[in-house]
Amino acid sequence: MRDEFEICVSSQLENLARIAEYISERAALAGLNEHQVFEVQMAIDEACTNSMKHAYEGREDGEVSVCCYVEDDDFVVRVTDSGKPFDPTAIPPPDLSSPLEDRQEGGLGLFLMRELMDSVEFHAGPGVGNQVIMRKRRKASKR
Amino acid sequence: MSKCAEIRGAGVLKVEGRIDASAAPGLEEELCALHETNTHTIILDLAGASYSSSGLRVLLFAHRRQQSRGGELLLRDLSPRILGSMCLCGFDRVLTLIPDSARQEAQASQ
Repeated sequence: MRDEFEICVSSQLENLARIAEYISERAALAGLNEHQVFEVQMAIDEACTNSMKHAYEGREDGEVSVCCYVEDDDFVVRVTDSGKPFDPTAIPPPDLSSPLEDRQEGGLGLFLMRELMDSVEFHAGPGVGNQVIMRKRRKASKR
Repeated sequence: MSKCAEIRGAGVLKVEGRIDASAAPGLEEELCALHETNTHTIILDLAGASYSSSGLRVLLFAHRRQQSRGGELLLRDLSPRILGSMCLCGFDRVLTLIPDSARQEAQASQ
């Protein structure tokens, strides 16, 4: 049976720092190098920010759970909330070729999550909230 | 989180710590306040900072505000990691990055 580690916080943006600290520690213990730890921390920050700002729409009484474990060569992180179901396909990817001055807000967080991790899956449904499962390969990362 | 100084007319804001969704509004406020003082050049010293996309957006908005008035936003002392994430999003192609603060300050004081 694998060991899973979890941190649960209320949906206050102030808790992002706590989550980052916890995940960085767990990722380092799982054998990720310093650069990979930074990338994982940044991706998880984006996922949790989405939960707090969009799924809970800024409400601070929701719960965000971040669970992590090692599976084969992957460090896996699962972010769960009970907020409004989130459809990532409804968010257009940022147009990185357009001039920065003309770019629309939004989509940057999802883009970063996908770039920084080796895989990102979204699961959502009415009444069950959202689950984002992200994997980072411990050996040969894609970048 | 940040400390403001002035180098020959340029407003310098030293940013430290995580600029995540929680801290971004505070930085945004400070940058707006600097903008309101008609500071032509704002230099952000990011040596001790790390950020998420929320922080990146603040930089983007500050850049737009400064440009709209013919001013500029300069970023200096970015760590390689921060620079890496900035490059991922294409921010490095537009924002002006200054790698060596010691050199800039020496030039500014001449």
